Amino acid sequence: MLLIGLFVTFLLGFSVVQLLLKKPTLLEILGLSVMIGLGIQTFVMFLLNFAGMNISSSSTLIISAVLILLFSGLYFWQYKTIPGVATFENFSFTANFGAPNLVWLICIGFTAFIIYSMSLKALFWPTYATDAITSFDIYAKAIAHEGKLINSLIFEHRVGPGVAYPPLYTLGVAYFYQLGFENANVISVVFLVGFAVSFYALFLRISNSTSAAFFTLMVVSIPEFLAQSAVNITSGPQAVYSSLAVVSFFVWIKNKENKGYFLLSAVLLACSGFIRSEDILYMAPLFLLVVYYIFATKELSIVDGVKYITIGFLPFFLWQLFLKVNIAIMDKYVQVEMMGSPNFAQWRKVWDLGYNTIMTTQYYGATVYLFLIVILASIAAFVIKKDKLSIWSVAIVIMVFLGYLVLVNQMKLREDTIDNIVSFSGKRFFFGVTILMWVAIATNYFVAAAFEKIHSLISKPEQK
Amino acid sequence: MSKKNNKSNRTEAAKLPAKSTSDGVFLRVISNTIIALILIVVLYIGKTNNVGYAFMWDTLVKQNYAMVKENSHIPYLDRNEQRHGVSYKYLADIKKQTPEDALILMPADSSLNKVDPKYGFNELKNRTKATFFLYPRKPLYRTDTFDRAMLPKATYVAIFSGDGYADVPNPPADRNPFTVIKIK
Repeated sequence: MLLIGLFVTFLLGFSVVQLLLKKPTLLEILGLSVMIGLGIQTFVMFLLNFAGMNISSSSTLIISAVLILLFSGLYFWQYKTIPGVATFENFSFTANFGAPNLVWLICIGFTAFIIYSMSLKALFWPTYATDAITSFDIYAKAIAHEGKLINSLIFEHRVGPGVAYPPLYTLGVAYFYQLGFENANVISVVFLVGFAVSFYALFLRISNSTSAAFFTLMVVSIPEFLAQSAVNITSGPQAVYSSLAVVSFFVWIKNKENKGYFLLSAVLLACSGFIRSEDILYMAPLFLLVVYYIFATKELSIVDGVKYITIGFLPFFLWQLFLKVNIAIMDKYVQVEMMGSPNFAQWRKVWDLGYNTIMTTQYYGATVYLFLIVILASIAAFVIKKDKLSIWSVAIVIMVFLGYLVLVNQMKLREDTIDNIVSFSGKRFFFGVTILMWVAIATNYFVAAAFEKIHSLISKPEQK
Repeated sequence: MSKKNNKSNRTEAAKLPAKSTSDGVFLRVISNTIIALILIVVLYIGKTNNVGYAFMWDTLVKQNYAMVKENSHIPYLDRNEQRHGVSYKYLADIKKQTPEDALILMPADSSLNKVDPKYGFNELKNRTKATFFLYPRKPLYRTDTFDRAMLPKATYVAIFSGDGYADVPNPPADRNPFTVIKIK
C-alpha cells in the first residue's frame, strides 16, 4: 500500500507535469512529480472534507486515479501521443541531465551526498520538532484517524496554532499515515530530494549544466535551510514551492515560446499558498510581473494572466474561506491579526530584528553578502546590457524580504511577542528569500556570462 | 609533382582535425583540472572560514551520516526513547496496555514533582505532547480547563511512582508503581 500510494502520487504529478510542459526532461519529471502530485492530492482531500465528505486513503487514491486518466487523456487529445513517450524519444543524456565535466561531477557528487545524508537523518529520527509534535504531526494523526479537518483534537484544544495554517503539509502527512507510513519524516525526504532535482532540472533550462550544478550545491548548502529540511515542519516545503515557482517563471521569461513553465509556476505558487499564508509575499511580485508582461510587453494575454492568478491564488483563498466558515471553532487557533493602519511605532525594532537575522552567516553562509554584491552588478547589467532578468530576480528578493518585515510589523499577536516570533521563527522566514538570492546571483548577466565561458572551456562541444 | 603535392595536401588535411581534436581534449582536461581545483579551494575556504558552512558540512552532513550508519540497527521505537527520554517509554507502555478509545487519567503534577527533574518526567505534564504519543487514546489532566468535564468519563488511571491508586475503585493487592489500570 505504501509504494502503491507513493506511485499514484508520482503518476498524478507526472500527468500534470506532462500536460503543462509537453516534453519535460526526465529530471523535471523525477523532481517535480511527487511534490506536485502531493499538492493536488491534498487539495482534493481538503475539497472533499470542505464538501462534508470524510478523508480516507481509498477516496484520495480513487480521485487521484480519475485525475490521472483525465490529465493523460487531455495530453493525448492535445498532442496525439502517449504521456511519457516524448521524453524518451531520441533520448540523450546531455539533453536530460546536462553536459558533464569535472566541475559538474564534483558539484553533483557533493549535492547527492548532502541530500542522501540528510534523508538518512530524516528517516532515522521520529518526529521531535516542537511545532510538529504540538501542531502539524499530531493534527495529521487526527485527520488520518478521524477523516476530517475539524476533529476531536480541535474541539478539545489538544493541538497548537499550526492547525490554522493552510493544510497541504498536514494533509500530506495524514495521507502518508493513511497509507501506513510509520515515520512522518518521509515527507521531509520527498521535499528535500524533489527540491534538489527540480531546482537543477529547471535551472538547466536557463543556464548550462556547470552553472546549474554549482548553484544547486549552493542552495542545498544554505546551513539553516538544510538543518530544518530534515525536520517535519512547514517552512522548508513552503520555501521549496515558492522558490521553484519563481525559477519556473524565469524559465518562461527565457523561453517564452513554452508557456508550460508559466503555468507550472502558477501550480507551484498554488501549492506554496496552500502550505503557509505568508506565500502572498511571493504571489505579489509574481502577479506584478504577470501584469507587466500583459500590459507593458504584451507577451501575455489577459486570459493568461487570469489563469495564472486564479490557479496561484485559489487554494489560499479557499483555505481562508474555510477558516471563515468555521470561525467559531478555528478562531482560537488563529494567532495573528493584521493591523489595518501602518504601525510606525515598532518598525525600527522589526527592521533591526530582520536585518540581524538575515545577516547571520551561521544561518545562511555567504548568501546575503554575495547577493549584496550582485545587487550592484544587476543594476549595471540593466543599465549597460538592458538585461531585465538580472533586475527582476533582485527585485523579487528585496520585495519578499521587505514584505516579511512589513507583515511582521503589522501583526498583532494574541499570545506571543514580535521578539519571540522573529528570534525563534525569523530564521525560517528567510529560507525562500535566501534560495532566491542564489537564483539572483546565478541569473545575473555577468555571473551567467562568466559561467558560460567556464562551461564552454571545460565541456565537450555539443554535436551539431 | 602536382600529384605528389595533392597527396601531401590530402595527408595534411587528414591530420589537421585529429591534431586540433587532441589539442581540444588536452585543453579541456587541463581546464577541467584547474577549475575543479579552484572550486575545491573555494569550497574549502568557505567551509573553514564560515561557522554556518562548517556546521552544515561537519555536523549536519558528516556527523549525521556517521551516526545513522552506526545506529541503524536500533529499532524505530527505541529511537523515540532516545529523542524524548523516559517519559516516552512511560507513555508507550500506557499505549500498549490500553485500547484506542481509552480516556486515561494522568498523574497529578504533585506526583511528578516528587521525582528528580533530571529523569525528564516533567514532560508528562505537557498535555499536547502526551496526546501526541497516546493518540487516539486521550490523556485527561485533573487541572486542565478542557479536561475537567471529561474527568468522570475516565476509563483508565495512569499509576506513577505508586501514586494514583486512590482513583482506582478496587485497587489490586499487588501494586505496580508504574502502570495503567482499567477503572471502567
